[in-house]
Amino acid sequence: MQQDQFIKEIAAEFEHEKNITAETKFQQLKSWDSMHALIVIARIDELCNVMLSADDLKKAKTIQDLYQMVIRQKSS
Amino acid sequence: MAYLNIKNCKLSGIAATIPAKEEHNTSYPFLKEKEKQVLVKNVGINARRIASKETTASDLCQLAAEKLLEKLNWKKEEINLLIFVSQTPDFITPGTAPILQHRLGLSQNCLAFDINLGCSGYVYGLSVIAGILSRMPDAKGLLLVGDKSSQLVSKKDKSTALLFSDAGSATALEYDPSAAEMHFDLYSDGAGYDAIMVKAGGGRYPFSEEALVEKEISEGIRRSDAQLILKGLDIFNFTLKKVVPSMLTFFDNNNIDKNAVDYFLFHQANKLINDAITRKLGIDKTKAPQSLDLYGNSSSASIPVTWVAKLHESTPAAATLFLSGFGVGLSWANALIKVNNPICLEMITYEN
Repeated sequence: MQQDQFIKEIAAEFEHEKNITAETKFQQLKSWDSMHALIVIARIDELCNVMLSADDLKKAKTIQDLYQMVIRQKSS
Repeated sequence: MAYLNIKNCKLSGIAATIPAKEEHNTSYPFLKEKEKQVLVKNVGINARRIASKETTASDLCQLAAEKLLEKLNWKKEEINLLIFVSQTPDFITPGTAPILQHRLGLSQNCLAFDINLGCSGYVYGLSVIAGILSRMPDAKGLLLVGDKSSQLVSKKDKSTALLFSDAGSATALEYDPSAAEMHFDLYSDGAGYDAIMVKAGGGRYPFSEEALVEKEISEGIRRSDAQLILKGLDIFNFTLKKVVPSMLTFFDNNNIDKNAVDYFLFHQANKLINDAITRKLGIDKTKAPQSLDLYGNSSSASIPVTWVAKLHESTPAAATLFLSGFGVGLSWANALIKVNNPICLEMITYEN
């Protein structure tokens, strides 16, 4: 999956937030909580067949970081 | 691998009881409207059943057992075995199974004990009762499985309050040399004991005044140490990394063609988890019915609740069922059973 598509799909999971981009620091969003973490991990698994852990998620700052993590795990 | 193949045991009937009182997640007072929408959509739970203060898990199971025995036309003195599976027993001690033996009016000639398991409890309990019954010619047994999780949950904890529902169940089994073999595979990983737990009130952290003090854990999560903790993300990881691979191993080792299974009855954790399992296994959604929408996550009772709610009218007379329970412990268990026209009562409602 291309980065643009990935960002679009993940942004859709923040349906009540505006202007989500690759650089959005998602953990600083007002709506971010443990439920959203679960939603994002489940969505990434569905889209890319990669399971990120809670720790992975904490290490990522932006949605682009998440994409890079997925690419790394895919190629390892 | 803890593999069990059990002959001589037939599943003769099943019943489930839910309390009459329904709570709707859209009426939850501690979240904003938008947050509730996101939660309901992803968790898949609109309504939950909540037992009254006076009602226990054993009361729900007892009603299911009474109705089932009546329908099966089994005499009470014929029952030689009763197992109660729950994490919400009537008392810390004694166990609840002997009390149920008495309340149901069963004979003293009845082996009765409790098993302390939650989400995996139905499948574990089935393996234990079938294992014992297979060595008890002409015996009959009752597996009573249920939880009143609402008594453990903090109403101000959005990570648990919107998930759990109360329910009880009864499954009737009997010795029968012509019954199809049942297959089980059971697992444990206590390293994850703190992913779902009630910390205080047992031996490790005895009851104290401090245990009852409500604390703010994070936004939207307030609870005391005597109330249920649930680490949703850890459970999601556990389900996909341990439980799903165990199912695939189970299919491989038993030479099971997934297409030959009529229904996959999974513990109802939440929609995200259950959808992910179905997706990973590559099975048709209609073969893995979910009862989350109206009956939430009823812990140990979720498999019988789904069976009754979704298959009461549609199970073919002879059906192959794959069952899987997973969660608190951590503990997980898979089973393949072939049922031959068992009695399946309509959902029973517990008034009060």
